[in-house]
Amino acid sequence: MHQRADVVVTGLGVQCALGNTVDAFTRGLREGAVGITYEPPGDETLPASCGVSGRIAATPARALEALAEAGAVDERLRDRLRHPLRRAPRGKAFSLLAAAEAVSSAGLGPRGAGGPASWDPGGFGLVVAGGGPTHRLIHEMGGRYRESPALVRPGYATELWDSDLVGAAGELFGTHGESLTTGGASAAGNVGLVTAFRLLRDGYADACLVLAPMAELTFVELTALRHVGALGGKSATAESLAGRPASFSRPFDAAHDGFVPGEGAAALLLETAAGAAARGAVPLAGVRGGAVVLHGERGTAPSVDAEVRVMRRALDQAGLAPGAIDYVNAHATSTPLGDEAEAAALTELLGEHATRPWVNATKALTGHCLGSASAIEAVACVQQLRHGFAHPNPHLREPVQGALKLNLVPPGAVTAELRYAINNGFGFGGINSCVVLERATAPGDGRDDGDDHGDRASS
Amino acid sequence: MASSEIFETLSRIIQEILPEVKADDITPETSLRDLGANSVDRMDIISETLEEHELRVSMLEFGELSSLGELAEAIEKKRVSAA
Repeated sequence: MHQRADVVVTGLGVQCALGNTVDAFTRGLREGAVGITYEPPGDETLPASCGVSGRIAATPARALEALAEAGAVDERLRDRLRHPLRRAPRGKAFSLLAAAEAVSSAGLGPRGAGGPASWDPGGFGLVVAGGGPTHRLIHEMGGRYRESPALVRPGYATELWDSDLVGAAGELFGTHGESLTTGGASAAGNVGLVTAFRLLRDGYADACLVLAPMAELTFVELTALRHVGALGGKSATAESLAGRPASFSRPFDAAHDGFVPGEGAAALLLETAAGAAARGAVPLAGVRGGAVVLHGERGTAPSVDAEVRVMRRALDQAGLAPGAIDYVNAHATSTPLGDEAEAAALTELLGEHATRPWVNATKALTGHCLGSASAIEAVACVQQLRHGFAHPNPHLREPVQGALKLNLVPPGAVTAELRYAINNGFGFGGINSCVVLERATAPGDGRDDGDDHGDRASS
Repeated sequence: MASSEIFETLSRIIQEILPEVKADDITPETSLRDLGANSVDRMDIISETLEEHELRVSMLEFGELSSLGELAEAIEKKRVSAA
């Protein structure tokens, strides 16, 4: 029997409304910066709420410059990215940029260059967590076809597959090992992380890039989400929104009324701890476990029982009791039903420890980036573990009843020594996921020093 | 000759889709294959050229032409017959 490997994170990349580098993202988290803005939807039949979202302000080309200026992208990768960025749809472009930052921060370059002499591209896997072609591309090709079949671009023949990004990333980054796409609706990022964790733990790969692509919604998808009642800002008008960031993404606050969509992609490079050590890569965090469970309902409703079950299962795998958790990055989308269910699930899971971990919701800052949300939030977990803080819940005024026992971060950031984090992701279709992350231990920092967290900032 | 305008469009789109190709290497005698275009690239280059000149014809009939000069002339013929 193959010995099960420890898994660490050695690279991070993110593109979202908070910025185009992990550093900018981290600053935004610390400040509780809200990246959600209003732009008139451009069609007066649409309500003003359809113009509210967590947009990425920069173009992909400008984002690449920002990465280069920050020294956050390998120079050879930067050169190779310019061309695909010019031609790729926006969502694909930002996804590749997030991946490029993760690969670069792990000390690797194009086609895995920069690894040790023993680096085996066949052991470098890839999980594209969610995605497929962007809806925008599908609608665009449909529009072209209706005008004239001659206008359908031949390149769409390769772009229409859910694995198109697997191919594009494989070409750029040299992931020649097991490569696949995983779904999971709004839990897709976590489902991808769990999949990569298992590939590494069980010896199917030495390193694995998890790439959670950006969803590119059009007003068609937004309208469906609005019709199902999921979108926030229901009472907003263009006048009430003019000139200020919107505050509709307010997870766990009594005034929440639905989610605000956001643009974003994230990537995490996972490796076996032994592989990372062998090539001298610095672990940014440990991945201790992860789980995915269903509650057997196709619709949009959450399940408290399944949420408790998935967190327990992930913690069991990590060998941790609920009382060991220092920090929870909640799925919390700002929908009343979802927030209440998660608050109840956390309260039940934590029991007498309910007041112990800090709880926040990154979606208040970024909007809900759907498939990539839990991967963006995994990056947020790693950065908060590394830098010892919990980001604000900026719009939290009056917590919902079910969350009263929880230690929600106030509208200002808190300094906190965090060791264990759980990252929740729940998706339509009854999909529940949870990933357990641990702060990377510096050499000589005892890993099994008991459960004394006396140095943790008190609430 | 009239097809030179088409040739210029082709040349520009080739450089957009295949940035590693040098402008000097794009001549009427070369083929898309010589320039390193794979089958999808070739079709994308032709269809975008047709689109720029507002020609609504299937690009399939241009697939077998070997040189860029021949290709530009064939597209020019379509333009004349469409006018």
